[in-house]
Amino acid sequence: MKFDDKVPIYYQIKEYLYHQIVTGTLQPGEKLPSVRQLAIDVTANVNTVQRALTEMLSEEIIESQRGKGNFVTTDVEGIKQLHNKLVKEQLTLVYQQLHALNLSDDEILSEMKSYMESRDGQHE
Amino acid sequence: MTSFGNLFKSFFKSRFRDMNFLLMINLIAIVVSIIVTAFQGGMSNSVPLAVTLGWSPIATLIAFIRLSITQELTYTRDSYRLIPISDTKFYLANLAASFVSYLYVVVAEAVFYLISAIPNWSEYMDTLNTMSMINGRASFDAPNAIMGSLAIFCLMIAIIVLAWTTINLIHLASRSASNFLPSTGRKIMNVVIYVVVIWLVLRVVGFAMDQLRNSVNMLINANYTANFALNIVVFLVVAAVEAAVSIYLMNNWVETISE
Amino acid sequence: MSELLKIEKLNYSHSLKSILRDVDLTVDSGKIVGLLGENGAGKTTLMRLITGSAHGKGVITVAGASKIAERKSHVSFTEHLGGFSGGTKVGRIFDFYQAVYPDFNVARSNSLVDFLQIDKSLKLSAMSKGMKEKLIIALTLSRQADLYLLDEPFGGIDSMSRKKIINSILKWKPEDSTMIISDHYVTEIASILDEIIVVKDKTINCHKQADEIREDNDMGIEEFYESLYEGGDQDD
Repeated sequence: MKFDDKVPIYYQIKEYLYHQIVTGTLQPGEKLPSVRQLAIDVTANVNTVQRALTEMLSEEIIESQRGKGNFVTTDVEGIKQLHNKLVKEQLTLVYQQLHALNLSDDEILSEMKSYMESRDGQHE
Repeated sequence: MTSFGNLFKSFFKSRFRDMNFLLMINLIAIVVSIIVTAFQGGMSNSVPLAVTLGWSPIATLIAFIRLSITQELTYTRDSYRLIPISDTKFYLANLAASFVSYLYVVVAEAVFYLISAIPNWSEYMDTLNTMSMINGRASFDAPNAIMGSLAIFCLMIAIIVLAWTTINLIHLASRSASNFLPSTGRKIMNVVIYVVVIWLVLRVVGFAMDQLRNSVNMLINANYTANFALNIVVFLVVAAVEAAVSIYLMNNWVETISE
Repeated sequence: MSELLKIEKLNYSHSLKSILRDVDLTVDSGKIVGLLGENGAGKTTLMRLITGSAHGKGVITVAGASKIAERKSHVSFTEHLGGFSGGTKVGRIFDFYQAVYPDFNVARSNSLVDFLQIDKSLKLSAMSKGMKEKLIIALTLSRQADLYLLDEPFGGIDSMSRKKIINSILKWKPEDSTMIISDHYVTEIASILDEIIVVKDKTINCHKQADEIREDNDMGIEEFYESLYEGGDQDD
């Protein structure tokens, strides 16, 4: 995994796992790899991975079963909320940056629309 | 922590291999020399022993030098000095491993002598008897000869130990001193130390040879044994003092070579 | 998590030159720590002082042991095999390590040899730089130590070997052990570090949590490290 050196690694690991959960690469109820395996998979330190997992536990996106490991929550509603949260985060980012380019709300909408249309055109 | 026994075994193993290689070369040299002599038509019953005796000092000298180099290298390399063991045990294991390896070479050389003496055995026994008679005995006295050989052997051990503790001390003292000297001073000192060590080794070897030559008498006359005992004790006491100083230096000043 | 390494008032000079001054440092167990600094800043010297290969003034304690011989039993250092001649077979070096280090773990060692693809039948002199670095890492990690000191383990090796070495560090570092990795180029190991220690101006210039730097300073580790030197220039 490629990290952005400016952003705390534990945060990036969390985002990476959330992304996998939201997109279904990790299914609800699926077991997560061991902490050490995760550390090797993403090339980070065990402590850092542990910190990411601890935050995920307290946000109740994963559940820990003693002696068995960590599992993705079966609470589909929770995953949905996470999904919404991630979408909102990305939207906020795009919105803020376009706003910084002096685009009004209406302009942002129309720009988005024409952008998506031009992309659709490319796909055909 | 690593035990003395384990460290000794590990040190000895590699030196034993080294010495076997040396002895193999020694054997090849002996065989080749005998063949060459035979081709030149100079073969007789006494040639094997003569050739073996000729190569032997060279082999034992090289063994001594090889072991000295290995021993000194061991004091200054992380490969060995990182081993978790006290400096005293480290020093003794290092010395003992070299010592036992050297002993092995000496015993092997003795075996070479015996084997190469076989073709001419009876004549050599006659010579020994004649020499004993000259010294006023009825015949060759085996127990006496063994006592004499043992005394020479002990003296040789003492000389070897003293030679090594002296080399150790000079080497470790120079390593310690180099901590305080600027780099040019260190280079000059190294040259001085090399000269001193070479001179010392030559002196020790020369002295040992003298002693061994003189002690041929002992094979025939046991009265000389008493003089030797004192020599040996003095040598060993000096060696012990040198060892103690070396261990103190290892403890406090000697640093490994950083690569 | 407990205090694993403690250095108090350490001073060291060599050849009449002061190399390290007033070093105080405490590192907890279970960490991966980057030891950063320019070439010649004293990173290797600091490691040599911890192993006992160099003698300084001050107290160094590793896992409660401050006597050199005892300290050695807790520390595994990437020594460069200078005690072995070029003709030595790699397998023999493993045998030697196994014989003299009580904490040598054969199972660990075998899996490291497999993972790093080390050919034990090779002679030391026949190994490329990258192979030798991998061999040194395998030997160092074959011991089940409390403190691992890796001195510039990525010096002049290709990126595949580097990745393998980083992976073997993550895979085989015992959980409670601490690992200090020195390097003068940070980026390649930045993501695996818990903390960084910077040696500058003959002492420990800073000791910080890696993610703290990213959070508080909004900087990458490399950037932060470089900023220390820019600051230094202005002082001069």
